[in-house]
Amino acid sequence: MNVLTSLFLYLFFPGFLFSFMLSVICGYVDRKLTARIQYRQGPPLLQNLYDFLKLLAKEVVVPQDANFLFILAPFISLASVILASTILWTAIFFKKGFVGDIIVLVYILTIPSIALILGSGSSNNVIASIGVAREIKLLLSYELPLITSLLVAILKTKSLKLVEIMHNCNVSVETVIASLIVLITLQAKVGLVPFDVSEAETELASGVMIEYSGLLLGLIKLTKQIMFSLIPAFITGIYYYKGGVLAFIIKYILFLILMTLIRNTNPRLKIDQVIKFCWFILFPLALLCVILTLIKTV
Amino acid sequence: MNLLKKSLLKSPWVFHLALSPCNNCDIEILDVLTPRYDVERFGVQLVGSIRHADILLVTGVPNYKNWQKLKYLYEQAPKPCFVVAVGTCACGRGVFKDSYNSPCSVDEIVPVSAYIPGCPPKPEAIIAGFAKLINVLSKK
Ligand code: SF4
Repeated sequence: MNVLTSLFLYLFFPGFLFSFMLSVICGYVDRKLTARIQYRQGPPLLQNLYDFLKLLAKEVVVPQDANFLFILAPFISLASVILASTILWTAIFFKKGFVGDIIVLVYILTIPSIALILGSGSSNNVIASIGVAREIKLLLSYELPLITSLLVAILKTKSLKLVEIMHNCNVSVETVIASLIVLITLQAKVGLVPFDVSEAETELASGVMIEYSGLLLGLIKLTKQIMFSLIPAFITGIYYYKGGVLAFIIKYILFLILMTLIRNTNPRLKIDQVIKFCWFILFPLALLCVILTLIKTV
Repeated sequence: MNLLKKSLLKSPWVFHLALSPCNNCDIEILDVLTPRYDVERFGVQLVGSIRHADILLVTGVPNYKNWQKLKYLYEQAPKPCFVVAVGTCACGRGVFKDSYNSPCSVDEIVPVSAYIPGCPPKPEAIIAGFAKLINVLSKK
């Protein structure tokens, strides 16, 4: 792959443009479904696009004591999430990749949270700092079960290449449990409702995002949206890839609906409950799956 | 530029600013935002931070404790930002006009774009006020 094709991949097809459009559609499905669950009508199809364009037109307010990280962080998080979606969708569409790309993917997917922590922490706002503290605890709690349950797929297929994992991973008890754990932990990564402790509109007034406005807020929201549209593809790709194109689309939509349902039927946990849940329930479960896989494969 | 303006009208995010009202207006505003009247149809969303707001919904009469805070909050909001006065209190101070603790009305502190009178205004009236504001802005 030369530079031009990689640039094309990054900017247009599986990269920025594609994931932007997909995120608008996924956002619509999410919001409309939420509205129907609450007996409401819900927003129009392009609502997320309107929101983003509106935020572009607004003034950007930078707090007096903020340093350059405040402005840089949203750009870094968007760039990294687009890179992650390029790697994942390239593996799905073109069956291309490199050895170890699943590790790279896991690393890249943590960058948005870290960027948000740095940017929001530099804004010198008290409420933002509470949000930052919670975001750090959240990051520490969900990464452990996430990586452990990804290990199930890696050990099962004995490969670190995304394409090979996709084509060799058969559905079994441990992969189903592991995929559900990944679903829940990734839900925490995007900050959806049972785990939205760092945003917490009602108690922290949108927490980590409180000082962001205009374009910067739009970029952060877009990052979350793209990540949201990436999760079903991630889970379907790694654990349930076998089957045709149609099967992939159906599984993608099913996981999307499942995520929306989880977010609509659960109350927000407290931060200590999140840590306990991730470390003492999800992590032993994931470890059990790893042991099961080892027993089966050896 | 036209597209940006159109999207501004399509997704007004509101920030609820209570200047010591009697709480009735706030309850009516909540009524508008909850499933029965569902203003998310028009893209209206309640936001928690003033930095995300496009419309400030002001209720109640400013008093000596908070009238400067109203000014301060308006300055904090990223422009373009419109102020909507909800309820008779916010429109023209109502019965509190000669009160010892009422320095001025809302529109003497910040520019008000729409007045929604009523004590408290019905949810339908608040939605009608929104619709009128958006109509006027789209012609500008
Ligand atoms: S207008 Fe009436 S209902 Fe609204 S805050 Fe004033 S007194 Fe209360």
